[in-house]
Order: sequence, then C-alpha cells, then structure tokens
Amino acid sequence: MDLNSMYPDRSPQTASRVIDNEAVIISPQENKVMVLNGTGSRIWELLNGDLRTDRIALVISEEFDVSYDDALNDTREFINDLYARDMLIYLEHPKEEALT
Amino acid sequence: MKDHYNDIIKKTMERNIPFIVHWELTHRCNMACSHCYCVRRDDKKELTTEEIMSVIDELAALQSLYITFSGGEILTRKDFFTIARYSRSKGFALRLLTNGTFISSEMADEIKQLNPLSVEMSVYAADPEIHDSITGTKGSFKKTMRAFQLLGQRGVKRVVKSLLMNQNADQLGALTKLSHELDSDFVYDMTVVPKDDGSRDTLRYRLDTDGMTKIFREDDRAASFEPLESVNDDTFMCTAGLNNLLISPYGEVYPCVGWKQDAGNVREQSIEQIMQSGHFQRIRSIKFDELHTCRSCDKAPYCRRCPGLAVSEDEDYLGPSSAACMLAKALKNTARGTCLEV
Repeated sequence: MDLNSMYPDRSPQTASRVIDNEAVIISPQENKVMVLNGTGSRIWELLNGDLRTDRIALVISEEFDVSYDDALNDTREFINDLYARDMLIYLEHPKEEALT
Repeated sequence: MKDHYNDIIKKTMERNIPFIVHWELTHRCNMACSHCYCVRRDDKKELTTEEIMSVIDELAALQSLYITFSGGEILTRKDFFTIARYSRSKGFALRLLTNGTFISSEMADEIKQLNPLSVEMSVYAADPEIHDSITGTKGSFKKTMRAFQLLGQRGVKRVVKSLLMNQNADQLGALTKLSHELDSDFVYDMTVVPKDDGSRDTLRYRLDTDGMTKIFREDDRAASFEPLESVNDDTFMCTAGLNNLLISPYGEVYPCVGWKQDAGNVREQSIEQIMQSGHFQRIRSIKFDELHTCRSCDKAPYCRRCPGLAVSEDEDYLGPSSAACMLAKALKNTARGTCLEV
C-alpha cells in the first residue's frame, strides 16, 4: 500500500475546529486537546480526502514561501504523525470522485 | 499547549463563539428523581430531528466544538443516535449525560462508535436502596451499574456524577470507592436548584451549611482550595452567554444551564441573532462592582456565585445566590480549618 498515492482525510473519530488559523483538535485515542501552529493548522484544513500529500505540500510551499522539497518532507512527517495517532485515514480515491 | 488552548478559549469568549453548547434534548425521563429541576411541558413541541440537524449545521458554521447532550433522559428520544452521529459527522466533540438504565450491549456498541469524550451517569449512592429511593425507580441502581460495565468493556470513558443532598450526604466515601472500582472518574455537586417552573419543592433536599462543611472536610481537594487573592471589577465571574449556551427541548436558548431565562427560540431566530440579543448582551456586560451585596462580602474569594441561580432562587441577578452563599461559607470554614460559620 503506497500511502503517497492515496488521499489523506481527517478521521471521523476526531473533533476539530479552526479558529483564527489555529486548529483545535481532540484526538480519538485519548480524547486529548491539541492546538496546532499555523502550518499544521493549514495542513489540517487541507486534509479533506481530495488532495494527495504531494499536492498539499505544493500548497504549503506556495503559501508559506518554503521550497517544495522542504514542504514535502515536513508535510509527510506531520501527516505520518497524525496517522500514528489515528487522527487521519487514507482513501484510495478522492472524496469528490466518490460523490460523482 | 495549555496556553494555546486557553488563548483559543479566550478568543471564543471575546467573540461570543458558542464553543460549548449544553443541549437538553428532551425532558421525558423514565425515572422520577426527587431533586430533578426538569419540568416536562406537554403543551410545547420538542424540536424534530430535522430542526435539530439544522441547528447543528448552524453551530458548526459558528465554530462550536463541544456539545453536551442531556435530558430528561436522552435515550428516550428514538432519534438520539441519528442526532449524535450527525453531530460527530460535523466535527463536534460529545459528552453524554444519561441515567444509563436503557443501555444494552447493542447500544453500548453504538455509543462506542460515537467516541464521546465521556458518558456521565448519575449515581446517588453506593447503596442500591438509597440510590433507588432518590431516583424513585426500583432496580435503577442495578441497571446503571450494568451500563458502567458495558461501556467500560468497550473502553468508553465514564464518569460517576452525583449530587450530595440530605438523603445521601454520608455517601461521599462510598461513591469515591465505587468510582475506583468502576474505573471511572467521579464528580459531585451539592447545588440543588429550584424546578424550571419556579417551584422550590426540591430545595428541601439541599444540605445546610453545616452539612456542606462536613462534606468539604471529607474531601481533600476542598481542604487545599485556594481563595482568590482579591476580588474587583476585573474578577471573572462566569461564562454564561460568553462562549456557551443552553438549548431546551423546545428550542429556547438560554445563556447557560443555570440561567433559565430564554433569549429567543431557534425556530424563530438564528443562534447568532439570539447571542446578540439584549438579554445576552446585558449578561455579558455585568461587572463585579454591580453586585450590590457580593462586592463587599468577606466570602467573595471563596464564592462560585451563579447569576442564574441568583435569579431562579433569589430573584435578583445582581444579588447574592443563597446556594452560593452556603457553599462559600462551607468552603471558607474548610479552607481555614476553623470553627463552623453557619
């Protein structure tokens, strides 16, 4: 299973809101509250089941003015961490496609 | 992390984002607890599933995060799981308040799927006879304990939630022990409140200051309570109407669970409009110096005054709340370790 070719989506087991570009997330494992920084919060918003990790990294690279390679590394690391905490799931096909 | 979260909470209060919502889904209940404040109104129509979902959509758009569903008994609503699942799909974190007596294995599975922050169940005594006499329902203790077991087996966080009154004042130690045995958290309160229709019949169950002091003296946490160093106009009083609100089964919106003066109805206005109503604005503007008696009270540093209770019991939202006065006296007695002040 190549996760890089799949579409990460926020786990339905999480609860979250983004207020002033800061994401407040309640993790499903321990029901603990996490507050993400600006970049993490933007990635969280982009985890919508329609974008692959490389596409999310491209947005981060453009919006935060960092190189694409750095953005990709950081985004992958962050997404892997969320996956390990059961805070996201991977979809084989984009959500939008599933709706059509 | 904690500071960041506190910053978010502060923002929600400054902008009046209803971050924390308490929702009484129904006043129907299968039990008849002696102290219950809910009054079932058969002349009013409960919100339908569709109406509730529409309000959930609106709350999600307003960035609400937490919903506590309570009753009455939430599981008397046949659409409870439809409502709860819909809330979760909209990114809400749920707390469920229930007496637990309807919870079967299948229902426990469904609750597990909801992944609630907690399921808080009312337990009034470790002695089944005392508990059942308070709930007015024979066999209720056994059923509630079964619910603790079923949810525990599924790893759902459970809370033993109790109200200590004249009938069960000697149960603090036993309830603490029971909650350990159930591997559950334990919270208790001593604030018996008037019924929603204004009746004060329930108040006869409330402990007096002496009784409250005895409870606090049994509780290590109360002994280590640290009073506020000073109270002045900057003293934060309560979050009513700032970032929380209560929705009744009939769609009325209140500033909090303790303040039962409605400011509008979701059937007629949006939540945003109701939060900008004169009633909510006035509540948000109250300053400590406006509290004509409390501002010079020597127990103010110990007091957790509830303005809603000051209205419902003492009919003056700027005056003292009898219940808060008793608790503050008891806490002051305990924290000082001095003779009783009654």
